[in-house]
Order: sequence, then C-alpha cells, then structure tokens
Amino acid sequence: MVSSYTQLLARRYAGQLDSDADEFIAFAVDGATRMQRLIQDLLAYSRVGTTGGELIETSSDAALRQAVRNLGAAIEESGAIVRHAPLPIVMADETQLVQLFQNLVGNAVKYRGTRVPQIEVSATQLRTDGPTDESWSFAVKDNGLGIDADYFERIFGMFQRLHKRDEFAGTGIGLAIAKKIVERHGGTISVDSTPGTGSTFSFTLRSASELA
Amino acid sequence: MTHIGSHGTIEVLLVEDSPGDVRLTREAFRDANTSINLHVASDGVDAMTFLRQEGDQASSPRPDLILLDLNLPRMDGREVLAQIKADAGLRTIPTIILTTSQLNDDVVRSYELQANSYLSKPVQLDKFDSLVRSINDFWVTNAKLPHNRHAG
Repeated sequence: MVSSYTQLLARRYAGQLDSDADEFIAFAVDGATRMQRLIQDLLAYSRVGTTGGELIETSSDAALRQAVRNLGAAIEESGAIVRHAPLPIVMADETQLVQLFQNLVGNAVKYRGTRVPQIEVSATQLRTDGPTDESWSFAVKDNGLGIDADYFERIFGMFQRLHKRDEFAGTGIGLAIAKKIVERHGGTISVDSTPGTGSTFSFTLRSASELA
Repeated sequence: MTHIGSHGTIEVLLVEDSPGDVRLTREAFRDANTSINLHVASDGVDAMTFLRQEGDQASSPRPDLILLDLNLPRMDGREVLAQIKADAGLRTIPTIILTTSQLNDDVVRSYELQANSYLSKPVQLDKFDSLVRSINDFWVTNAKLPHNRHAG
C-alpha cells in the first residue's frame, strides 16, 4: 500500500514539484521498497524453522537444477555459467535445499566483478570415524568480487552487509537464512575467499546412505 | 557561546548509511544551528578513514562531535565506537550513538564501550527534529567541548 502510493506520487508528480519534493518522494519510494523486501526476508528466515519439513532422501542435483531455474532472469542477464559435478542424494528438506542453493548461487551471480560469472558446484564425501552417517561437503565456487577475511564470520549474521545501498541492493539476511537452513540440517557453513579472485562457500549435509 | 574550530563552525561527523536519514538529519541540524558543518561517512571503514585523516581524507577536519549509527555495512558502529575510544587521539571527541535500535543489549554495550550518550531515533519527524535541537542545545550550546588538539 505505502509502496504503491508513493510510486503513484512519483509517477504523477515527479518533475512537477520542486527538486526537494522529487528527492523526498524518491526516498519514500526507496524506503517502502526496502521495507517490503525486509518483511519478505524476515518471513523467509522465520519460516525456515516453522515450515521446515522432515529430512528425507533428496537429490541435491535436482535441487540445484531447480534453484538455477528459479534464478533464470538473473543468470540470463549476467550471462552466468553454472556448472556442477555429479551431486549426491542427501538427507534434506527439498524446498529448503533449493532455497539454499538459490541463495548461494544467486549471491555468486549478484556479487560479480567485471568478469562473466563462472560458478561451480561440487560435493566431496567426508568420512567420520564412528558408525554414524557419512556427510557430504558441498562447495559453491565463484569468480566474483571476493570477500575480505575479516568478514568471513560476520556475513552470516542478521542484517550484515558489506556494501553500501547504492552499490548493491539487499537486506543482509540471505546468508543468515542459508546458515539457518544448513544448521537445521545438522550441517555447518563457511566461506573461503580472495578479494578480486572469488569465493567458495562450503556447507555440509548428511548422506542418505545410512550405515547399518 | 561555544567557539570551536576555525571560523566559528562546529564540525560534526555523522556516521549513517541510509541516505534518507542523512538528508533528514541534515535538514534538522540546518534548522537548529547554521554554524554546524555536517560531514557524513556511510560506513564504519569510511568513518575511521575520516577520523584518522588518512588517504583522500587527509585534510578532513577533526570533528567536535560524532553521531554514530550502530548498524552499518562492513564495520558496524560498535566497532567504530570501540576504535574511537581506544585511540588516544580520538577518544576525547564526544561520541553519541544515534540509532533505531532500542535493544537494551545495544544500550549497555554502547555505554560499556564508553559512548558519551545513546539516543534512539524517533520515527515521527517532529520528534526527530526536536531530538536534533536538543542535541544542539546540550552538546553544542551548553556543554564545554575539548578544544582542538591534534593527535600526537
């Protein structure tokens, strides 16, 4: 509502009032849009816990493909190339796994530098010592802007952003959502990166093949 | 009244990432006191560069007062505050937290880090204007501020 009427104001009166008015209207439109995004993202964060389904055998390959489909416009616009190695069956909530891939691949596309985004998704098997399930360590690797080591932990916090609003839009909740999903699945998430070269986001998920 | 800095101007550094809030603050200070020169840093890293007079900020003036938002991209306000108060050359600059956060944890933490005061930004415009006027009345008109001493 707020958003629609401020945009209507902008549409009808932009350029007809003085320049201060134009600026005030622009701030209002921007503020309303940001509020909407914030609400959506907060809801998404909250829902990770409340609407999460049981963890069942899920094809991470299929989940990644779905995430890439969902990112259609962004990928096309950037010319991004997303490649992946064979990906395993894991214990997961499919909707959330899609969301996780969508966040990570989406970020890889968004925080690109001048190069065409090249994103690689792979998984390596981890063996534990005990008779518990094996896990997989997934890696989403990009050739984007990269992240300074000082911020490796901070970026998974709520509302944590590294860029100014006019540089990149965003609420700073995406990685907090990713972390919450991974932790709900019993895994851990981390990042390694070199500014100017790219980043690799890694997370673990439990394998679907249980040891007897 | 308080005569600080050259030419009677009072230098204030506002550390705030929302351009909308910056504009509102600028308008409010302009109404409160035309001798205030408001500088803006939009994240913690830029704020420290300004304060340390580094790089392209080498000729930036030492502020008489700092208004600091807590939630900033890259380095947040809590870290900026900690760095200011740990720096012998900067810690005498009154640093006022000006934030939307009303969390008690943020208040306690800020005072632990030696913030000079903690102010919650009102949502209503007239209350915000009134708050800025009261900042001016207290910190600029009434309080004695330490005279400019260059960082040794």
